Order: sequence, then structure tokens, then C-alpha cells
Amino acid sequence: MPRYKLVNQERIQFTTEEEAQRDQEEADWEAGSFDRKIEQLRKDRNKLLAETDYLALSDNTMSESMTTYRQQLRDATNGLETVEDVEAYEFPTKPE
Amino acid sequence: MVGYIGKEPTVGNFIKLDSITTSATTTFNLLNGGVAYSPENARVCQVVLNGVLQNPETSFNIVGSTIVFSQALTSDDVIDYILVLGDTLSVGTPSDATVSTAKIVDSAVTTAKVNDSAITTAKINNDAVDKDKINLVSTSSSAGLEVKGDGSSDGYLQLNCSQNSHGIKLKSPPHSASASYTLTFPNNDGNANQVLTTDGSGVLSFADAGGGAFEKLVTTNITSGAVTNVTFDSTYITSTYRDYRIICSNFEVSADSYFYMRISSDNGSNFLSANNYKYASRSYKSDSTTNSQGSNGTGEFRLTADQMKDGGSPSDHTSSIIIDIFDPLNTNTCFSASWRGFFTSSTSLACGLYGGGFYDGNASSSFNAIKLFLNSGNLELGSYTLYGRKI
Repeated sequence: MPRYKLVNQERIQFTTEEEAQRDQEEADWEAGSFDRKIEQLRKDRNKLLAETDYLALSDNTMSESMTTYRQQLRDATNGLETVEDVEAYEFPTKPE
Repeated sequence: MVGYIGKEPTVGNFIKLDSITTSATTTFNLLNGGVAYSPENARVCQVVLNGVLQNPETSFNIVGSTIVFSQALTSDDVIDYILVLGDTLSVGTPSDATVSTAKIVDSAVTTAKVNDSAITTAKINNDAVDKDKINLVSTSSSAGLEVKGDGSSDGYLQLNCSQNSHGIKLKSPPHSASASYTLTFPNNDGNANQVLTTDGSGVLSFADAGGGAFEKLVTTNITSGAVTNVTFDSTYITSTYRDYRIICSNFEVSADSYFYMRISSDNGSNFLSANNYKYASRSYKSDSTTNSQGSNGTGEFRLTADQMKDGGSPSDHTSSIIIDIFDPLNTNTCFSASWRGFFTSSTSLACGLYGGGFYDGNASSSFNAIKLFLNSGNLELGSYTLYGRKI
């Protein structure tokens, strides 16, 4: 199906060159899908770690369950090799 | 009074002059009520001296405001009276309400005969005072023309069409405004498309229209049939305006995707895709979380920090984003923009967004085309309006 662009008020069909360029852009985007998703997972993981950082201060003794939880977060990306792996991953439940 | 033969006149102007004390001379002054009086001639004067009626022009003559006897009198003589029987054709003082309009010669009434402030409004015909009769002179303290209110309606001045069947009005603010100010018009008639502005003290001047505010340049709508990108180029991005704004209103996307923007310095022949776009975008989401996207160098501005949700059909997942573009034609600075808006994330969260960025390169170029597109898929529906702002 041909693509179109809207220039000012005129609807114009893509040229062959533009079609090829757009195909490449979308392909590049698709190819970077795993990198983006794993990057987003790291961001979300880091946010969860930051929420419990205060428990790691020297004047506090961290519970064993919290220590395990934080280690699981740090290991979150281990073994994730495909987009499907990342999308299927679920973060561990934060201890009470 | 001496009897008349024939019809007795009903009016006359008979004057008895002031008494005269005689002396050894022929000439005496004639006074009427203490004021010098000049009878027209001797024949209109009845003069009685020592009880004897004098013969005009023989016994006496009139010279100006004096009577000259033919012989010198003595202090023993007595002028009994001098009666002036009126001037030639004189009718004396008309009785009240007896002089009709017909008795006054046309154009005979002079300005001096009309008392100051004596002409009332009722004496002037409607529409009778023409422009030549008006001389409106303003002074430092009063207007040459004042259009008054009537106690309920505010004063206004009406300028009619040639047929006087239409008219426009210049009207005062209402009484409640307590407005008393002066608007002074410019010294010239300005240039095309300029507007009147004030210096804050009512002194008006012409200035370019639209200064300081965005004005709409073009709107393009996607009503049916998706498009891969929406572009505005040098048709509208011109030196007439400094800053630009694009409002993308109520648009949808054909697949979960990010909203991108690229720029061109050759009117859209080539949109820059080098990794020179520096930007930061942030989403505030309805689950109280946030998400950020940023880069110190990627191939486009990524306006949404999260993916927008595919609208589907029917759709309740629309997006609206406002993009401000700052002085894109400036060849001394880089391209910069900021954005804000709303979208529905691919996870169906409501997201507020804001962000900004610049193109770290080609600073000496003018950027005269802007392309909005998605990382993948097409734009569906929506209204895209470009605005320009002068300063």
C-alpha cells in the first residue's frame, strides 16, 4: 500500500525513494526493538532499586527478604535475550 | 398739539426740546433730554419767543444742533418752547406690536439689531446650519465639538454613507467606566496590514499586525486516509514571522508509536537525520509514575517519552500536542523547540508531556521545513495548524 505525506494542505504520494527510506527507518526501528525494551526495563529496575536504597544505609540492618528482593532486581536483565523475553519478564514483589 | 386738517395721524415723533435760558447772542444749543439734538430743518420746528410764534427761516434757522435767531436776544427774552414736529417722513416711535414683517426691508436687520444670545434653537431650521456656518475651534481646555449623552445613552458620532441610509458610529465608553482619556492619532497613515497601537498614554501609532501574538497560517486535516508524515515548508515558514507554533489536535496513530519531529534547511528535500538532535521529554502518567526520554544525539526529536496507543476503531485514544519552534530562520543560532501536550500511552495511561531540545549543528542554516511523523506507522485523523508570531 503506498504511503502519503501531507505537505501544508496537499496530500502527496511518496516517491519510490521516499518509500525505500521509510521502509529502512521502520526496519531500523524494529531492529532496535530489543535494545529499547531492555533499556526501558533497566530504567524501571533502577527506579525500584532507588525506592529501597534508604534501607541499605549503614545505620540500618536490611532484612533477608529485602536483600533477596534487591538482588533479584539487580539480576533482572540476566538471561533476557529476545523482545519476547523482556516483555514476559515480571519484577519480583517488594517485601512488606 | 396743533389741530390737523384731515385724518389725524395715529403716530408721530413730536419732541419738545429742553428749555433754553436766553442771553445776548443769536445762537443757542438744542438739547433733548440733555442730549444734543439736530432737527432736520427750521420748517419742522415750532418756536415761540416771548409768546410770539416765530417764522422759520426768517426769524430763525437750524444749524446742526443749534438754533440761530436773526437778531440777538437779551437775557430778558423768553423762549417759551421749541417743538420739533418730527423729521421728514418720520413716523415717530411705532406702538408695540405694530411693525409687521412686511414693513421691514429684506436684509435690513443688521447684526447690531440682534441681542447677544437672543437666537434660540427654535429659530434655526432643522438641517439649516451648513458646514460653512460652523467654525469648531478647540482650545487647550475645551473641545471644538462635544457630543453629549442624554442621561441614559452614551454620546456617539455617526459617519453616514453617501445616501445617508447607513452609518458607523464612534461611541463613548459607558458612564460606569469613568473613562476620560484622549486618543491622539498617528502623524501618518501607516503601511499595509499595520494596526493602531498605543504608547500607553493614548498616543497612537501604526505597527505591524500580529506583533507578540501567534496568528494562524494554515490548517491541514486528516479526515480519511492515513499519512506517514505532516510537513510544513517555506510556503508558510518565512521571514514574515519569527517564531512558529504547531498545534496537533486530536490525532490518532495507526500503531503504538512515538511521535517524532525532523527539520530541513532545503525546504523539505532532505530532512536532517544525523544524530544531532538533543532533546529531553517527560511523561507524567495517570498511575502517578513518570517516564523520561532524552538523548545527546539521535536522529530526530522524540516528542513523547512513551509510545502513543493505537487508536483502534472506534477510538478513545487521541493525542494533542503543541510544539513551539523558536526563530528557525535565524542563521546565527541552532534550531530549538519545545513541546507539551497529552496522549494515551500504549499501556492505556493518560499522559501529560513536556519537553524541549535543539539541533546541535548547522547553526548557520535557516530551517524552513518541519516534518512530524511516527517511528512506525501512520498518522490518522487530527487537525494540524501552523501559527506564526512576529515580535
